[in-house]
Amino acid sequence: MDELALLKDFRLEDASPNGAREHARAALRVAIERRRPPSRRTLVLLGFVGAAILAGAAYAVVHELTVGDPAPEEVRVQPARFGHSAELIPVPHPDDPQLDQARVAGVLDSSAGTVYLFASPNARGLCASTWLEGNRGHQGRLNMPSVCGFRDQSFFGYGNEDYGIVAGHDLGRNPLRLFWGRAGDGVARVALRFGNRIVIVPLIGR
Amino acid sequence: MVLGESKGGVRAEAFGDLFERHFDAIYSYLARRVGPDLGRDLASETFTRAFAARKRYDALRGDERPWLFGIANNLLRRHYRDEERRLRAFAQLDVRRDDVWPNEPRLADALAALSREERDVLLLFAWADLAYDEIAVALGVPVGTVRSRLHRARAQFRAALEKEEALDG
Repeated sequence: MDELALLKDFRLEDASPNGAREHARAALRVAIERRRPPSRRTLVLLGFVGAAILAGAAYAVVHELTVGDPAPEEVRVQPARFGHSAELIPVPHPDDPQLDQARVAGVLDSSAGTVYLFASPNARGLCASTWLEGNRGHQGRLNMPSVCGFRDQSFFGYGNEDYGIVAGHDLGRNPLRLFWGRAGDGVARVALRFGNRIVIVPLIGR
Repeated sequence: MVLGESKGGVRAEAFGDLFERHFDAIYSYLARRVGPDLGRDLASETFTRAFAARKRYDALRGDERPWLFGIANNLLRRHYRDEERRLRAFAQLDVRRDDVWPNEPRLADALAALSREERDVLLLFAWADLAYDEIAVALGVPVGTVRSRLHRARAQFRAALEKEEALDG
């Protein structure tokens, strides 16, 4: 007796989806729209890809990691300024990094000094901000370039620190170039292409 | 100073493809076990749970079917009694009725006689077309356990059918 052949036909009439697919699709759409803000684990995945790829004189070595901790207060009270010039009285914008929720995502010891990577949400996704220790602007505010992406996006940012003298380091003469982004747990290295030149960079600072 | 390009929602779109590819198989499996109404709800919940857990899915493990069937089977656990009630009802059907498939009552009876673990393995094999190693992933048990459960389930199922056949004859 082939019991499996008999079983194949049992309640086969129940197998037709009819309207079930539309029902499930609608439920899934609601779930997708209700996606939560990135978790702490997501933030931890943010890390430096590399530093000073183009500047021959620069180097970078990670020597300390405090990822996941809240960013220092001075970072969290920074008026968010992303993609537009700072207003006299800052007006919240949905694209602004919500720096009050910033966490440390990486610490990098570069040739120009310690660089911090902070991760914070905005209304649409996740933002990354970098700060080269000592790099301050008007009224002592932190000069912090930021880049934002949608939730779950593997986004990459590029920061070219090439202006001013920070902690004795002349960035104009010896610029620091930073790349950062988000990659899955299994990604060990990334390939960066500059024209016809490809540089393989191990993922560090995560 | 800073450049950033976005390709937002890529993973969500990929999940849409996964839904379209596997919905029918998941629904079919669940509906045959607990009926179309509950099957519809459980299939829907399977995909919303899978979406919520999509970051934990290890794509390197291969086919996503065992992962999805594993979620579906976990959801089924809350409804084993519904399934058994349903099987007992089918076992009582009168085969002389025109709308009843002659084998239906004895198959239902034989399925109801299996343990839940054996029924899971047998039906994932027969209805979901999962291989031994895929069933092992779906149920979170070693492949050896799948083999022994399936062997036992098939033997018991066959014996129950033969017993019914002898009684009918």
